[in-house]
Parts: sequence; structure tokens; C-alpha cells
Amino acid sequence: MAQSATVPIPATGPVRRTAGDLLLIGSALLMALTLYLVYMWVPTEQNLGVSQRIFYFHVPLGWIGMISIMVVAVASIMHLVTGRQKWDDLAYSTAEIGIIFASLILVTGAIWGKPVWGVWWTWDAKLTTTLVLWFIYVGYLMVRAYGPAGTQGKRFASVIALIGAIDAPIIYKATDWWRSAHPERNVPSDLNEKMLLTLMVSVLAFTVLYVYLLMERYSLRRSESDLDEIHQRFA
Amino acid sequence: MRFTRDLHSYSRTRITALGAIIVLAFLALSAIGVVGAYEGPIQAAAQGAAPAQEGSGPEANLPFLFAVYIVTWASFFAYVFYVSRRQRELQNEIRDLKRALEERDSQDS
Repeated sequence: MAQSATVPIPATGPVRRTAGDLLLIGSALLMALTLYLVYMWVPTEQNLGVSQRIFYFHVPLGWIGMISIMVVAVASIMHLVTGRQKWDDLAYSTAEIGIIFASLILVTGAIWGKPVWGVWWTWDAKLTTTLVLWFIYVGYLMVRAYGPAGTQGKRFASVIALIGAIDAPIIYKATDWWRSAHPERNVPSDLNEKMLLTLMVSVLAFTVLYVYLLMERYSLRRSESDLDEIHQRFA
Repeated sequence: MRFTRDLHSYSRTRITALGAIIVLAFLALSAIGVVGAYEGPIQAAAQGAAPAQEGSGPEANLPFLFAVYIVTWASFFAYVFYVSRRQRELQNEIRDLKRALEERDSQDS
């Protein structure tokens, strides 16, 4: 049957599988090292006590949440310019993972805020702009779920992603531009050497985990798109 | 398309449930007055003073650290579970497609 020979076949190549396995193993090892450093090695901060160790989870999650929206925006721009499906698949996959990281920024921040500030949440500039980022992620995914089918819905979502990219530098500069309870910089310049090393290892561990999750989700998304195309062709 | 329809309805359910949980959480927090209800230590922290801590002793805030750890890893495991379930659904779709193609081939011949 000639038609069946032209349809895309969802498949996972051996190189991608090996890369995925290596990333998963690397992520697990780095996470184990991070846990050792956070719980056994790094000194306890004098003012904040044990709760300061939340810093080693909260900051990497924050960085990746912001990097993620930039990836969504770049992939969306590429999709708008080239119209190629693979860029849209990348944008969607990143947005889905990004919302997990953005949610975790808010939740871990709230859990840290309670012992330090005495409240779970306050309408501080940094917190509020981060919540706006979370809503942008939700908006993107909602447009994909409820919006017009086909290219129009993808274009609408791409525009939302671009708005999200504008929010990322605002979050970063929020403590400079507005009076804020949040520490001025994500990483203080006078941070203890051990604390800095622990933070760097944690950032690396979460970054490797992020890349692994993105690779898996992107592969799955590509398969979903291919299958959708096959269904449309044979309907 | 059945596949597209299924995918969309699945996303809708997921996003609606997530939205409902968030709205309920904010309503609950507002009701018990913990959202933005406490300004003193925040202002002190903004002015560079040592922030307040709940309890005392080196391990006073250990439950909060434990909560962060649990929430973070529970979220990642839940997501990996969701991805693996989608993978299974896709495999079922491929199996159905193969069957449909075989039936089509047999009708053509």
C-alpha cells in the first residue's frame, strides 16, 4: 500500500535513547551528591537556621522556571517564522515542564516564607511577578487545550509565550525596581564558598534533570504529532 | 479525529482540575488569613535586619525543609508517571492503527 509508506513512523533512535539514559543516570548521581552536600556538608546559616537549606532547591527551580519560558519563547518565534511543527512541539513540551518548575518555585517559596517571614504568601513584587509567569504558563497551555485547533491556536499560544519572555527579566530585576522583602539578588555576592559550591552542584543537577525531562517529553510530543497526522491522513 | 479529541479532552480535564485546586487553595488561604496578613518581619527583612524564625534551636524549621523536599520530588515523580502513561496510550494508538491498516489492506486485496 503506497500511502502507508509515506506516513511518519514514530520511533526513538538508539543515539537519543543512549543520550536519555546517560542524562537520567547523570541526573540521579548529581541529585545524590546534591542531597549529600545539602544535608551533610554545607554549614547552617546563622540567621535563618535549617530553613536556609531550602535555598538549594528554591534557587535552581527559579532559574530553570525562567530559562524554560525563554526556551518556549524562542521555539515559538521559530515556529512563527518557519511554520515547522518541530518548533511548536518543542515549545509545548517546554511549557508543560516549565509549569511544573514554576509551580515548585511558588510552593517552595511559600514554604520558606512561612518560617522566615511569618506568612505563606504576600503580594511582594518578586512573588507577584513570578505568579504572573505561572499564569502565563497556564494561559499558554489553556490556549492549546481550548483554543482554535490547527495553526491558529498555535499562533495564539506563541504570542502568549512571547509575553511570558518579557516577564522573565522583570522577575529578575523586581528587587531592584521595587521595594521587596525578597533578597536583592538570587545569589548573594558574599556567599560562603561551601554554600556557593553546593548551590552550583544543585543548579547543575536540576539542569540535567530538566534537559532529561524535556528530551523525553519532546520525543513523546513528536510521536503525538506524528500519530495525529496519521489519523488525519487515514480518516 | 478520535486521537485529537481524546488528547484535548484529557488536557482540559487536567488543566481544569489544576485551576480548581489553585483557586480553592487561594480561597482557603485567604479565609484563614495567611495571605499577606503579616507585614512586620517582611519590612524588617527588607531593611536588612535579621529575619524572624519560627521556634528556636538548630532543627526548629526542619519540617519546612522536609516539606520542600517531599513536594519537589512528589511533583517530579507525578510528572514522570504522567509521561509514562501517555507513552502507553500512544503505544495502544499505534497498535490500533496497525490493525486498521491491516484491515484496509485485506479489503483492498
